[in-house]
Amino acid sequence: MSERVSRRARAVVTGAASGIGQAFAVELGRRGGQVVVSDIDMVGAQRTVDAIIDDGGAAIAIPCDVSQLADVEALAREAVRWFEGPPTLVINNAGVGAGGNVIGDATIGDWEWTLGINLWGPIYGCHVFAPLLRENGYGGIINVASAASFGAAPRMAAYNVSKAGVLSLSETLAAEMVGTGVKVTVLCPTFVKTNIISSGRINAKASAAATKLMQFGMSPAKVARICLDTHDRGGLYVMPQLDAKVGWQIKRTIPQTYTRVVGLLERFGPLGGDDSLPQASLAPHPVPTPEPLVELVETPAPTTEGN
Amino acid sequence: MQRAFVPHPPSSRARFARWATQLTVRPLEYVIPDGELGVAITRRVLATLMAGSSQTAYDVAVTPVDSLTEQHGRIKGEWARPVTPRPDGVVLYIHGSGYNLCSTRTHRPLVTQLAKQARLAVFSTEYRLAPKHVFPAAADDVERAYDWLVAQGWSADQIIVAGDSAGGHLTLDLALQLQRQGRELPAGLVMFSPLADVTFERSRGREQARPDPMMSAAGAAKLLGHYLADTDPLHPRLTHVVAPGEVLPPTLIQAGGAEMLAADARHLHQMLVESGTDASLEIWPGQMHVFQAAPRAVPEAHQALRRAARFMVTALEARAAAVESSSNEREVTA
Repeated sequence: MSERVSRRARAVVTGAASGIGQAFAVELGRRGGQVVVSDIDMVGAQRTVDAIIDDGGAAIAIPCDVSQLADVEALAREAVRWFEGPPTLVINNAGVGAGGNVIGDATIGDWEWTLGINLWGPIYGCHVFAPLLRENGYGGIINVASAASFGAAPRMAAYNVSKAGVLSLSETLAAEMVGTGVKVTVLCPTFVKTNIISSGRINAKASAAATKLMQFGMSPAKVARICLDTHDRGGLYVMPQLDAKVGWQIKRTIPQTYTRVVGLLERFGPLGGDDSLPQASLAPHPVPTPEPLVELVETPAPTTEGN
Repeated sequence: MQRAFVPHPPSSRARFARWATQLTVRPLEYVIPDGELGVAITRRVLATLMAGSSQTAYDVAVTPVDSLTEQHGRIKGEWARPVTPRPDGVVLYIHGSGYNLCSTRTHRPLVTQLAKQARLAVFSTEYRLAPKHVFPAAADDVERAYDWLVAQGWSADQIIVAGDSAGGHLTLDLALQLQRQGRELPAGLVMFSPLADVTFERSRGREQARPDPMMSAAGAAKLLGHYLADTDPLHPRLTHVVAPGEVLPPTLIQAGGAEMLAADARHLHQMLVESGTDASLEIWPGQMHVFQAAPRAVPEAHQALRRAARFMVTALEARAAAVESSSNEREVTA
């Protein structure tokens, strides 16, 4: 279909209280859309809604925990009622950061929490909304993955797995949607200036390193603009930054070398040098005394779902 | 949420003005140094910009006032009188400043336009500015100006208090002071892009969704810091809390949809409505901070000002009618 999906869209954005989701919602509002702003943080969601309405757009906030199928179904019902029709654009954006510990040290609770939001969220989103869009024969679905979905960066296993799942989910959905008039796009950014670090379960040391990297990140507004424009053109993959593009090409051409280099960089590179690896994994060199792993940053309850 | 006022999308000139501001004014904050020198530079830059974008109404007579009164101390400001002012009302105008910048001179175009539209005499008061004078100098000066106006023979129910930006903050402060001293309240309040949250937390929240085309919340906080000095920003005269039951006079709040203080305007409106005040909120989509002052750049400025003028006249008439009916009742009971 030649029409641009992001213009005058009836859009549902999950995790739109902050970060990339907020940027998507505001940008869609600016492009004349009606936007359903969903998040578990209703204060932030209302802030986004206010910003959209104050600029002459239309938006409502609907609470939704994307890791609960019932919530996502309720979101779809509410959205359809408000739009008085099916949505034309669904952005599965809600996600949390998790990392800092190697596999085996990260608790199963962290795995389940991360996969519940980052992987099951988009799965529920596609499960619930894809039939609506397919039936309507028009629209688009954008899933927010990450460069981590192919980057395989150490100490971020749960996050990487969840995002790789989202990438695969999007590719499969895109294949299934060929010829139905529904476009599918997957967004794989590297570092974006958002609050995903503070809302996630990341240990203190990794959190400091990540925050340092995030300040060089792209602004969420720019990421959202690039992604929506690519989506309008029918692109499946969106790597908004140069490092994401380069990483993606390297990974595709020399996957095994890539993985080894990433592992070595993490251990001996400028941001690595972490001496908290388990003893067994360091064979050739004398082992510095292993310190106990830094405790998880206490997050009382996941209050925000940035990114 | 019910909103009485649904303005149309911004004009293309307003959109251009915003884009141009974002490109030229916003980066200045990173160039201008901190401290007193920075404030001095900002004053000059802002005065130039305002002179370029505003339009003085020349059929309004402007007479400066600078008198040393025994009772009220030094009163400084200027009267803006239209050709045929309404006899039964007056406006006390408090110019915006971020508590550091501007003067009655920079706001003269806005004030004369307001005087012309409402056909009311407007007294635009000067107040002491930071960084030289810190809290509560400005608030005290405004209160003295109000008392002086009352001493000139205007009764409270003939006075409208209006202000923009920090002037809106001072307007609310004055009304609350009068309320808490058990004095009679003015007939109405008008605030253009009022500052309500001196910690700028709300602005920061709004900024993440949509950056303000003029300034960052951090920059604004730095500027306001000159006025706060060592005072706790949660001081009751800085962070105003209007408790339910503290009914203030009818209030009109206007703000631009593109500015970060739109979040403050919403908060203020909600607080006033919850207190039982008859408050109305107008957020003009896509407009910038105190766009009413820039009619040369933004055609909506006149429309907004006309609405504010109409609100002032209506508020004065409503109060006059209420006063009359209550005095009649008193006669009957006597």
